[in-house]
Amino acid sequence: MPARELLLGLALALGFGDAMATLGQAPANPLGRAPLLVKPSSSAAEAAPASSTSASAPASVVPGAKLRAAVRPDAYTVHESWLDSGTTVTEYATPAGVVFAVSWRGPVLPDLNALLGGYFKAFQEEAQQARTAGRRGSPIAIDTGALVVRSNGRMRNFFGSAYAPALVPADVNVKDALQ
Amino acid sequence: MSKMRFNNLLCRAIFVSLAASLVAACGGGDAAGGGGPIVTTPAPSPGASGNVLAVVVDAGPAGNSVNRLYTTVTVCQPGSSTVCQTIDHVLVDTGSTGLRLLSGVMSAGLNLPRLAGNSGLPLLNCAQFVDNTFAWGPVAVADVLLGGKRAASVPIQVIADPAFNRLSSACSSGDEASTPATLDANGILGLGLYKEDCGAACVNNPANGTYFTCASTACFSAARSVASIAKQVKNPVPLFATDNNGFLVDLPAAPLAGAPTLAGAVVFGIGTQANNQFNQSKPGTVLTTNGGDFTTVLGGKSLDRSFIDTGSNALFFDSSLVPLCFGGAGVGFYCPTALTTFSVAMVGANGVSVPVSFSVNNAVTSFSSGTLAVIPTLAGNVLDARTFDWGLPFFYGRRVFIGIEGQPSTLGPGPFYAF
Repeated sequence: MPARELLLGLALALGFGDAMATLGQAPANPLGRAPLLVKPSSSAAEAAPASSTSASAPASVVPGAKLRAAVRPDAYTVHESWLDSGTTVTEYATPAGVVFAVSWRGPVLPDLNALLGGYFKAFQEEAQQARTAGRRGSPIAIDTGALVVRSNGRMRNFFGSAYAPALVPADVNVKDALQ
Repeated sequence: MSKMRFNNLLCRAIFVSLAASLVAACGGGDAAGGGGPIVTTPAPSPGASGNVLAVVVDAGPAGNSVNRLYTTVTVCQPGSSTVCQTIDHVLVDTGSTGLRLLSGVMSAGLNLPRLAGNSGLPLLNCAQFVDNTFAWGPVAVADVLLGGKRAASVPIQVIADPAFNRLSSACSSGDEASTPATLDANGILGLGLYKEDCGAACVNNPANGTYFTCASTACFSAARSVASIAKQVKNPVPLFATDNNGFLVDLPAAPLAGAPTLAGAVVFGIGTQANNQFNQSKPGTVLTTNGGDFTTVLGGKSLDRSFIDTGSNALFFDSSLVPLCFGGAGVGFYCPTALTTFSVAMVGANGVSVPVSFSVNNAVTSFSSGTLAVIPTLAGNVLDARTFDWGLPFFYGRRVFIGIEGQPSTLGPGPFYAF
C-alpha cells in the first residue's frame, strides 16, 4: 500500500476507530470515558447532539469526524460519526460495550472493511456469490445467520446496515433500531 | 492481463470501421496495445439516426448476463473525426453518472488526453457500485458519440488503466471491476438524474472519496483530491448542442416467459422532437424525487427510498408473499411456485401517485433454460423495509423519461422520472 495513502487510511480507521467502531468490537466512544453522553433518550431516533466534547473525545483525535451520542441505558447506545466524505456512520453498542450493529448513509460508501472488521470476509464472499448467481449492479441482501447485511442505493446516495444477530441484546429489536 | 487477452478484447471491441492495420493485428496477437493511432471514420452506431441510440438486452460480453441493457459508444480524441474507437456492450446505467470504459478494450492508439488535478498530476476517479464492486482509473477527455449526437470534450473514466493501478484504500474495500467479465460490460454509460458523478461535494473537499490524484509523478500512490465541476466525470446528455434536457428509455414489452434478446432505444431530449413527446399514446405521470428517491406503497407500507435504475438487473423489494430461492442458482432471488402479481403505487415527491403492477416468477426456473437474457419476472430481496429498487424489468414495455437536474423541459425541470 502506498505510504501516503496508508497514513490517510489509518486516520480514517481511527475515526471509526481507535475508537473502534467496528462490528463486534468496542464502540468508538466507550461510555466509560465518554463525555459525549448527554442524556438518556427513550428512543434511538431521539439521539441528541452532544453539547460539548472534551480533549479525549474522538472528535479531537480525528479531524473532521463529528460525533454525537445518546443512550438507552436499559438497552443500547447509539453513536453517530460524520465522516469527512459526508457519509454518516451510526453504531449501536451494548451496555457492555460491544458494537452489535452499524449503519451508514451518504454520497459514498464507508470503508466497509474497517466497519465490518472480522465480519468483512463473510460479507465479501456472500456478495461475490450473489453476483455470480446473477445479482448484478444490484443491492446486497445477506443473511447468513451469523451476519445480516443490506447495502443499497446508487452513486451519490448509498445506505445500508449490518448486524451480528448473536451480539444483539435480547431485549432489542434490531430491525426497528436500524430503520 | 496477458497480451493475447488484451488483443482479443480489443478485437472484440472494435467492430465498426476497423483500420486495416488493426484487423491484421487481431490475428497476429502482437501489434495491438502499443502501436500507432487508430485512424477510423467514426461510423454511426448500428441503427443510429439523429437523437436515437440503439440499445439491446442480451447475454453480454461474458455470455451469461440477465436483464442488462447495452449500447454501442464511439469515443474520439477531442475535436477529431478520425481518431476514434467504437466499443460495444457498454452498460446503460441510469443509476450512475458518466461514461467509464475499460482500459483493456481501448486501443492504445486512441490515446485520449488525461486530465490533471490541482497538483498538475493525473486526476483519478473511484466509482463505487452497490454490489460491492468498484471501478478505479484516471479521468480522460473524449468526444462522445451516442447515436447521432455528439458531446464534445467530456471527462470520462478509463477503468483499470495499468499505469494508474495504485488504489486508494478509501476506494478499494470492495472487489475491483477491471475486466469485461467482472464489469459484466466493456464499459458503463451512466445516464442518471445528475450531471456529474459527484457534484458540489467534490469541489472543495479533498476527502470526497470519489476523486484522487497521483501523489508523485511516478504515481506509486494515490492521494485525495478535489475536482472542479469542469473536471468531473459527466453525463454526456446535457453536453449535446440540442436534445439535451433528458432522455427516454423506450423498450418493448418482453414476454412473461422471457426472451434471448430485446432491442430498443434511448431517445435523447424530452419534448424536443416528434419522437420524444410525452403523453404520446396515453396519459403519463411525472414523479419528482427527494434526493433521487420517491415512495413505493407496497402492501400498505410506504417505501420512501425507492428509485428506478436500468443498472439493477431485477426488481428488488421485500415481500412475504413470495419465498426466496433455496440457495444455489437462485440465491438472492424469489422462487414462487406460480406467477405472482403485485399491484403497488408509486408516489412522487410532488404527491402524484400512479398504480403499477408487475409479476414475479420462479428465478431458478427462468435461469434453467440458460438462454434467457431477458427475464421480466426476475425479482429479489433487499432486507430493507424502506426500499424498492425498480431495476430493468420495470422498463420493459414502458417509455420512461428521465429529466436531468437543472435542465428545463416541457415536463418541468429535472430531476424527475416520467412514464
